[in-house]
Amino acid sequence: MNVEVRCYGNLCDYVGKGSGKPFWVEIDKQMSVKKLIEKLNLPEDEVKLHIVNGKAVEKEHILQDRDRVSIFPPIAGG
Amino acid sequence: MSKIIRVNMNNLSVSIEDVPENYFFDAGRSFTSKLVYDEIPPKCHPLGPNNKLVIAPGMVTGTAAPCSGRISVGGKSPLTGGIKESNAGTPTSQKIARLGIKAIIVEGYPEDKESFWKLFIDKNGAKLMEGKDLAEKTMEATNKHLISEYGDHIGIIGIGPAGRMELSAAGVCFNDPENRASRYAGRGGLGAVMGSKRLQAIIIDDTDAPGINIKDEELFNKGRKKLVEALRTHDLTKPGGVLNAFGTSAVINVMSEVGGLPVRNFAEGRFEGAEKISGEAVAEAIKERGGGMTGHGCHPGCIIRCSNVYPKPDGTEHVSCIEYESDWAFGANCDIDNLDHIAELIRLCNDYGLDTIETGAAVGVAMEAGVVDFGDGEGAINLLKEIGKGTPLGRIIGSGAEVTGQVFGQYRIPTVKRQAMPAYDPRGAKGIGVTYGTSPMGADHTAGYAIAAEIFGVTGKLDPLSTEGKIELSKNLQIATGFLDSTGYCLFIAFAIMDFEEGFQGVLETLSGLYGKEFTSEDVNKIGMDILSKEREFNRLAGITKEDDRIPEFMKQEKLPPHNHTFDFEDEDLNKFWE
Repeated sequence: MNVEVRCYGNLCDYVGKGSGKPFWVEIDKQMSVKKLIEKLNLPEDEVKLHIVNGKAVEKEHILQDRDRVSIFPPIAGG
Repeated sequence: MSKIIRVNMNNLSVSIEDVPENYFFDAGRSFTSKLVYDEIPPKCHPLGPNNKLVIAPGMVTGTAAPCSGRISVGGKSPLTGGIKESNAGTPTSQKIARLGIKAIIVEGYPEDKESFWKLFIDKNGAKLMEGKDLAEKTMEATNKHLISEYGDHIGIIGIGPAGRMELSAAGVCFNDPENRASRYAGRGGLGAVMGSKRLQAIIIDDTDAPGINIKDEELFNKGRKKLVEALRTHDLTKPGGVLNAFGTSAVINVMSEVGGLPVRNFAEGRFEGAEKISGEAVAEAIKERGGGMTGHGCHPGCIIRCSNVYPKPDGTEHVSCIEYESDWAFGANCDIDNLDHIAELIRLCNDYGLDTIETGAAVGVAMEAGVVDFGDGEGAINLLKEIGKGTPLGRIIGSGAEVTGQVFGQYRIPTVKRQAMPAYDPRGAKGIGVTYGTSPMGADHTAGYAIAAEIFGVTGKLDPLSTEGKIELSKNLQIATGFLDSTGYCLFIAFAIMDFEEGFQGVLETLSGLYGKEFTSEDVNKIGMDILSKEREFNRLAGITKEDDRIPEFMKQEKLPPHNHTFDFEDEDLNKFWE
């Protein structure tokens, strides 16, 4: 199974991809967002928002094949 | 702050008044809205002699309180026909406060409508002068000229050609710390009100200003330190956090991913070009090109520093600043994914004296009408240049989204009370939709920034697509914001003080220390409610009723991709909002 991942802000530095540039990651069945974050070597305390298919989810959310996953640091704005 | 400067443009005189006792604790929005309510006939013509322009810094503006360089501008809006408070961050707010000035009120208008005037204010008082030297000047040229005449230490408040033409998208321009004409009290056409009074610029010289009298320095400082600590600690406001490193445009990516970023005149909620125009792209261009900067502050004393200066490919300065709303208005909303085009569109707004939100929304409506194509950056730039030239087409765009939509026979006009919606689609974030619908300001995102809870997870997490809890959320935020808009603090401190109780206590202690009177959370409620009830009553008397607390019909019927929601609050829900 694969998910399409996008990272943002300074999180890009950890995965070596441009901000918002999609990349595919192979995942196991029943893989949670938390496990994906670990797999990508993202520091957990720097991750604030996980959006799957356009909706915010908790770390425990289980990923499905071809999910669109966006991972953000703490962000707010105007 | 102990005096009010009242400028009478009928007889071109200036008087200095003591602050009446019942205005003693008022500042910022609490001052401007109270003054508008007390002195402006609600049914007056906004461009006539009976409207007034009120400019007031906040309660702690001019002190050492962090992030406190904010100023409110109020009046009856030519755009909405209701009360307006519009807000900017600028060193000029601090200069005015330090001169001991609670507010500047401009009233009447001169018989001779051909000539424009300047107002000069310093520690000795205020005087009106002929403004022939500013004739035809855009804001960039105005600032350069005034600085060459008075020195680079002055504050400048001005209008550009849009304000002179009394266009409803005209804003009031304030200088940034480097004297750029770039910090706008943009919303609601108050630049047109200033233009109608034939006042083109206000020059503030705060040399030897008396400063702010703080009644209890110890308490004030105790509070200040708590607030500084909260701001420096909170992930959102801290130095090196996303706001500081990437600016507010980082939100472009978030809103696009959650499907609530209005694209192509509110046709869908996700933008294919989002990562090309987001805050990260802005920061990258700044890094690659040299010149420019991220982490720019709009006033001295800001800890967050979320502004930027964006360079051209050759590293010379293009514009300050590319921030979320402006980036969206000319970017996703117009289907433009080229930051250099967006930068030029923002620069033209800054130069002509226009609200980027209203103008970008108007351009989006014009694109839907086929005036130029969606995605045509050069076409959009040429459209804005029509405003500078004062052509009929330019005047249409410069009158905002509602007028543009009407002239071109459009159905899909994204406005509430005739003010254009900012960068959040109500169908993708229903709480902000409630704020748009019910705020006395018209479609206004800062008035009750539900996005903080719906999207960013500040004070908990709510589902943006659900209607549940959103009425209460919007209402509480509108009340708290009324209060914050009066303090002189930047709204962004809310991210820290809503999560950190100590920071909130710090805010109260700075106010208590300033006035020598205890401020509690009950005062937050009272001040906020008082402002909102005056604003709503003014609107009611002006002819704006709860029937106007509505989201446009098309958003109640058309589903917004990718989540395919409509705005599904009932009219009765919005009717009952203020009960």
